[in-house]
Amino acid sequence: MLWAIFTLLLIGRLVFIFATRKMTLMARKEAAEGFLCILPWLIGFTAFTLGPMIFSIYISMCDWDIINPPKYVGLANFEQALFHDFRFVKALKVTVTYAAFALPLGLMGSLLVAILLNQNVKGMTWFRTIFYIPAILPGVATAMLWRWIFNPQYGILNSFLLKLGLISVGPGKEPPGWIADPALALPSFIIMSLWGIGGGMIIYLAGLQSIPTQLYEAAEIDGANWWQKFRKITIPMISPTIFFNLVMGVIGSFQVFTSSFIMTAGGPAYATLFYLLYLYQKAFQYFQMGYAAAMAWILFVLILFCTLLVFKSSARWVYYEADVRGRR
Amino acid sequence: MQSKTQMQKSKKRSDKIIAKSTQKLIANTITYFLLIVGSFLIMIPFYWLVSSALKDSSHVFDIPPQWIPNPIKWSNYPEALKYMNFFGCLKNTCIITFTAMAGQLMSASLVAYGFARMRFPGRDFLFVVLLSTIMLPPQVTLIPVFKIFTSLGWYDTFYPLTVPAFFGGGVFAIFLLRQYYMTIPIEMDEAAKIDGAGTFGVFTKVILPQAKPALATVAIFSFMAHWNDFLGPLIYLGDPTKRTLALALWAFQGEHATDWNLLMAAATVVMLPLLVLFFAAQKHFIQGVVISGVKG
Repeated sequence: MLWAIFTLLLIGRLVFIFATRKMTLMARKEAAEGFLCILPWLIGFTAFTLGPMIFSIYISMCDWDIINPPKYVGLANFEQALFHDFRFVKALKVTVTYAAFALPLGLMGSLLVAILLNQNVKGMTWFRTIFYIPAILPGVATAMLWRWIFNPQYGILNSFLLKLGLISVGPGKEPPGWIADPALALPSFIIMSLWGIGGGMIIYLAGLQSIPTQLYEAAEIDGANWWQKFRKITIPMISPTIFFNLVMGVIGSFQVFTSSFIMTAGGPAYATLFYLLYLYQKAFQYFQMGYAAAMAWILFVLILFCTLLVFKSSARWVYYEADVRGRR
Repeated sequence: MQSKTQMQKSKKRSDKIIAKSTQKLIANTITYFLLIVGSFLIMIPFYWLVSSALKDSSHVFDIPPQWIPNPIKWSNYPEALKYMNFFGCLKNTCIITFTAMAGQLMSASLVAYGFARMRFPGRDFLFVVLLSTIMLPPQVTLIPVFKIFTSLGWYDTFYPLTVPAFFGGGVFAIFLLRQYYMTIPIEMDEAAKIDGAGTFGVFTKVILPQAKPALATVAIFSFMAHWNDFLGPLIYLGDPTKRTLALALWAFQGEHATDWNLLMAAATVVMLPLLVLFFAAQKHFIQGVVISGVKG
């Protein structure tokens, strides 16, 4: 350990001397101080990101139970996951399905709520607070609460629906089982995710408030109705915010863990076996670390692909004021 | 003739004003209606949580559910707190949260200063590297990092949950602080330098005091992230006396699977500190999002 640190320091020193060889004394001093400032991050990045990444590539090609030394198996883990493991395929399907519904619904829902909360009426601070609260709560507590709400017999969701006459209970008529029913478990998670749209909403709110009001005033003089104003001003002006929420949403919806771990443990019939939950089970319950590392890399490629797709498409729909100014 | 057209004109104008104000009234009514309905939908689960937490165990499974607990059983709270070793876990959570928060504030503010104010070879490249690590799912490094910490003998200690915070403090925090530092006029740095301040002096005497709102934002988000963290403690902490609140709540669910009233009482107390923080620092929460510059 000490030797490794010493070697790294030496390499760092040599790199620094080489990189600053053409500099004046002043500039060299500033460079040295600059490196000192970012040193905590440099160390952290090497020790907790770059090093582990390289190591992770290696162990993804090994059989490894963390106690015995890793045994090299080539691409067997990847092959096993992609072609022979129905649970892996299920986990992928669950996660992608969840993202495909929860993400657009959440994006639209949080935008609508943000527009509502951007109106100039009394008591707005209270409404904003209420809508934001679910987003700050501990995931464990939220998951427990919703498990109770979704309880088929005693939960308030069913009792609510019963009162509204949307469902009926009687001989031969079971109430919806929600998270206990393989067909409804994933939709239940999507419903639950909508309760926590406050995080995205508050970001939209910031975006909405940065739109200059003159734009709306000018449009009103030209006789634009609300839909035209929304379509031609609001949407383009907040498109960078939509873009941000979309990228964060893609990354976030692939990382669902706590709720599935607490509420269903992946069941029933693997209906809520989210990708990260399965990865956790493989690593820390079955101690198949190599397999889990391979899963992590497959996830990385998937997230990278989706994010790049969003980035690529963004040129068509994200509007940056600076761009237009630059073109003029 | 002329006055007639004028009258018509003014009538038209007043009609327009009336139409506009009715329109405004309708719009406001709809807004309020939607806001109130939405708030109800958000708040009902909370109400359900608190009311279940105060029910006697014989009424928890009433059909239809009891909306107002009768009798109100306050003793659920002391009972739940005792079973989950609340004060021990609170202490653990506080130690982890505040240590990590301090580490994150110190290292992120320093690193951001380096990226915002100093010139050194490879700075822009390293900053791109820093930003691109957002895209890397933490699961990729999860297992090797776990191996590092266990081989250091840090399993079942708070180190894995606190030490990394001192080394960089997270991409989001560094990025946010750097953006904020850039808005502080560089003339202030120069003035301080003329007065004899060194690089570190500029950092502590000029930059940090100016960046208080951004530091408050980082502190709040750091507090929230560590208080709510579940996967970290789940992986690294085994000993029941070392549990954090989130972990204790999960363990409590395992042991008291059917005592919903106690479970809900425990859940409320775990939520409570965050709610208090939120109400106390509400302005900073909202401001933080604006500062972080996501508006593009």
